Amino acid sequence: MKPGTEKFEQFLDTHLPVPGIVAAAIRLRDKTVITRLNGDALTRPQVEQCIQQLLTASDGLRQKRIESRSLCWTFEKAHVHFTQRPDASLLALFSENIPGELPPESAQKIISAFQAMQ
Amino acid sequence: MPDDSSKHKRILFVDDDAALLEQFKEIFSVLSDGAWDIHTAQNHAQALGLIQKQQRMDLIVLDIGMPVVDGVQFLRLLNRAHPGQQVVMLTGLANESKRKECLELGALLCLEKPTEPGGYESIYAALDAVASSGGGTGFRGMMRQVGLQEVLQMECLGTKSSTLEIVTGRTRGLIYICDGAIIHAEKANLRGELALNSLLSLRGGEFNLLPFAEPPERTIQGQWEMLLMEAARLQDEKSGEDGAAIEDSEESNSEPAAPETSRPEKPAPVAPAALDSFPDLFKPASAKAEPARVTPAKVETPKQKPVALDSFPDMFKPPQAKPAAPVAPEPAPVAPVPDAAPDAMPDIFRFGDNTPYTPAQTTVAEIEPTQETAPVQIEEVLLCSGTGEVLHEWQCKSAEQRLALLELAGLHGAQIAAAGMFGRFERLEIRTKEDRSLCQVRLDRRLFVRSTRGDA
Repeated sequence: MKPGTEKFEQFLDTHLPVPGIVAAAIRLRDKTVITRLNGDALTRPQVEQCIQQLLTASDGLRQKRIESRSLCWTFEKAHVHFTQRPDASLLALFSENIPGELPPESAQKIISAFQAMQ
Repeated sequence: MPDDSSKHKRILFVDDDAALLEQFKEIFSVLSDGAWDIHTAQNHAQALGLIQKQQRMDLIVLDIGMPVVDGVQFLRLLNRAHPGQQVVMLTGLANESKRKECLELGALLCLEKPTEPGGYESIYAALDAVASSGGGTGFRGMMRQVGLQEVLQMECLGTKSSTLEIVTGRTRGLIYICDGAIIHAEKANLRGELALNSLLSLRGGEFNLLPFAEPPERTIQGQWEMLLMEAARLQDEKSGEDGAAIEDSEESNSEPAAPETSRPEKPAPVAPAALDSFPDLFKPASAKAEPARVTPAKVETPKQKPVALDSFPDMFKPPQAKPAAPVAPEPAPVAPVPDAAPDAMPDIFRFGDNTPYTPAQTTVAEIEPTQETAPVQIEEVLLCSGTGEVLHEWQCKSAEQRLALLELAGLHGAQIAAAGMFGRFERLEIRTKEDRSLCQVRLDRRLFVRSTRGDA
């Protein structure tokens, strides 16, 4: 375990797994990515690639002066919840786009906890 | 329906080539045996003058490649100035992208100019068929190709008066539109909004746009945008719940009753189109800002169907009567029905269901009481076509910025989708401290809606 990752590891261990969330990842400021997979819907490289794209998108929004607290991307087959903290660490939660699969407040609760994490 | 309209059709050809126009006039006069009243214009200004003079053309045949205002631009202009006008493109420059653009803009056909005399007969047959289907005789279409919502939008946007007849194998319904407002709907023993919602939930069938006739009663009031939005919400709800709500069957006539409530004086404005899948942003919004207001003439026994909490997005989670189950690796048991009486539930939970709702399994320790219990206030709406043409905007500070945001969302959405193999990008919800925004990007339309909570 890399130094500085403990609390994020612990965060994921505390809050996951949650039924409906097929993958979760935290990317730290030093670009370390901590991933939790629940099932085989996504692979680690896929998650990391998505994280990169999510970060790019978030930066794009920021350039348009949109300071988001969280983003929820909805696709034909998936939802991706995304949030970034002031310390540049970010969290992404991946769930399948199946009605009822993930209670909406579940993702939001984890995101709120991530944002509030000391 | 005037009979002579089918005998004497007014056809306007618009082409910058005067010689060709003359040729059209000669040939089509012969082919139509004088049944076509042929007009010609060499540019859009002449054409508009003729349209105004003639009140309405049964068909306008446009060339694409014209100087100053080309056929595509003129088609856009016609859509705004004369919505519902039948237009066929006739061109020698029919590349695929132009053809697609024209069809997306509402051209009924995109034909190539004949290169030999025999070709005129085919063109004539096609144009005559189109001209015959239009005019005052109503038209027929497959709802899978042309959605009922689109037809209603077209009529309402054009502030027209008409009667939309919808026919499926087992069902016949009527929607009455008067001066751009939906005033009545009926389907079997349903009346009012129940009938409207039921008709709009049909997945296929035929419709006829008939001249307006005064309905036996006026059962629907309010903005057509809100009505279509509500129908869309119900459809979305239905799609999220197996076998729920309104169905294309006579059984669906046993629609549940909703509490009769009054409409707010100033309902939150919403985008008029693309309502078939805006769902999430508007769901509770409509429940709050626009309470259920159905006043059916006949009310049958309500279906006892719980509304699942999880059919609503996180963006507008409904207020919780009780904290949910704690966080756990395993699914928590289904939470008990809240103590609160059904009356304490938002209208959305009672619409179509008089039973208290049963939340789906919840795995979160506490649902923090948030400002999200406050009513949603729509602050800004922008709807544009897939090509970025603004179709509707309301309180947009900068349409350009919103268009750029939609573009950005679409671009990044596609990239993320590719990275995760998530399929088509649908929408992006952005939460900031102050507000929430929805960016929905579809091939044929894009929608931006910004909202706040009432006490936010």
